[in-house]
Amino acid sequence: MIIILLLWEISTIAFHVDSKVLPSFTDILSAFQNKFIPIILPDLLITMKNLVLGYVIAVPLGILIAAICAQSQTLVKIATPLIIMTLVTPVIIIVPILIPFIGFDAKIKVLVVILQTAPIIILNSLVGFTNVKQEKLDLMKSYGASRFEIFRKITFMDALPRVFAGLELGCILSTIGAVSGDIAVGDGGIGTRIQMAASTLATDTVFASILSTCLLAIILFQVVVWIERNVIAWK
Amino acid sequence: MEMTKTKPFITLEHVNKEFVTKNKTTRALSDVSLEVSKGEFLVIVGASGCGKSTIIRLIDDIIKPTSGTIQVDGFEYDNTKPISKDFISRMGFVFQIPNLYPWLTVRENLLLPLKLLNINTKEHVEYAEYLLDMVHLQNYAGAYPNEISGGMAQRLGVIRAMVHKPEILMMDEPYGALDELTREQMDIELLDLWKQLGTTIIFITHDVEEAVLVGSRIYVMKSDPGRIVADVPIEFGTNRTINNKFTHQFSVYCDQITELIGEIDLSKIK
Ligand SMILES: Nc1ncnc2c1ncn2[C@@H]1O[C@H](COP(=O)(O)OP(=O)(O)OP(=O)(O)O)[C@@H](O)[C@H]1O
Ligand SMILES: [Mg+2]
Repeated sequence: MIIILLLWEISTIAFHVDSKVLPSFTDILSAFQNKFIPIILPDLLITMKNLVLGYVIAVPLGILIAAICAQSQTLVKIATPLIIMTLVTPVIIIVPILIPFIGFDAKIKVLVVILQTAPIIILNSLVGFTNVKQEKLDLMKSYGASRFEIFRKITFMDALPRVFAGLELGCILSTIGAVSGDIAVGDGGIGTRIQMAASTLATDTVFASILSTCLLAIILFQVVVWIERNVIAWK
Repeated sequence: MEMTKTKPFITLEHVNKEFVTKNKTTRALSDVSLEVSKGEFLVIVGASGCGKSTIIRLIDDIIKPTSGTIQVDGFEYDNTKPISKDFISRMGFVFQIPNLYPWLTVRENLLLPLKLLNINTKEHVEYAEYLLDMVHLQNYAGAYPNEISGGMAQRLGVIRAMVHKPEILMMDEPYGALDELTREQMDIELLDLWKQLGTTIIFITHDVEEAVLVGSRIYVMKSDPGRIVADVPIEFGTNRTINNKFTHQFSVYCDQITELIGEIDLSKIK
């Protein structure tokens, strides 16, 4: 990491790269220092609000959808390709379709985050819910446990590590969703800031904004990892 | 033990079980009929895949037969719906693998049956502690399953099936993963418990010596299709000790059983 940063720094200076094309790393750091509080932070907060809101909705929604799909093998077979389709489709494409219904609202950005995040949570949870060892379920059956009881006490618990894998990937995807929502909808947020800075060739601001967004994603990710460590105490 | 010819406690009549998978249909059990008396220590032996586990999974109502009838204590199972919780609480089942839930501690795993069956008398909780003690797990009660050894896990799997004091205990190769010495010790402890409690036991193993040591009667099974080929009473009486192993009669039984099982391999070679 340090070597890459050093190479970057040296090459931008040595080859006299135009800072509008690729600013040196120190340029970016100084932009980060100078512009973070007055320019980047307000936009980042807007994005963060949509991101967190969308994520917090996507988590229970995704797990719930996966839990419903897991109840039938046919449903699993139908749902899986659909989930992969929504994962592959860039959510930005859907935004113009949604705008007539919802308008240029912050709601639409939250929706983009949900659409970007939920599928990966559904996919991972579904794999977890449908791969519980048969004996673990048989044991519950041998004490006459109900289907709901088996799901709640065994299937869900057994799938938890897998569900968390989905939640962690979800952190990354929801950040992508929040930024692309800004870009597609405009109206503030770090994505809009990046777009504006790029069009005015304020490349250092572009990079500093991207850096701040990355930091946000990393922090979110670490929070979820921390929760996982506390929830899955038996590992 | 003298076979008293009373009404059998557990009966299977003309039971067939087929497993249909994508590639093929397996006849796991073909026209299996058997009887187990109350208080009997029945052993089922046979090569891998002959349907041993399938028999006890049917009796424990984990799976339903393709055809045939199953009766326990005069009650005939309905092949379309699960038996009642009260009825199922009369049985305990030890799985071929320890089958512990990794998110529950040793004690929580042990107490799970009581929770599921809504049993919460002081007597049962005390019995749970007694069982923990018996298999030397009292110091690991708060540990998670991945913190205990394979042998400990297997012992926990066994006492978990006993914790609600079932009348019928089904054990699917319970000590398969233990070394021979520990296994013998566990077998003797199981015999003590059986004598003390009068539980009806159906015990599965592929170890002939173990079968003759613990069983009061042995069913020998063969595969393709899974069926019972012999019913061998073991006349050692209830006072079984490890010393039985060194008697002439013991090796006669072992040879007899081995021969009955061994025929399978011959027919497969042909
Ligand atoms: N759920 C299932 N689906 C398909 N086939 C099955 C299933 N359960 C058992 N079988 C098949 O039924 C046959 C009998 O299985 P079973 O588990 O009763 O054998 P077993 O005598 O217990 O063998 P082992 O000593 O290896 O445990 C085997 O051929 C097995 O492959
Ligand atoms: Mg088996």
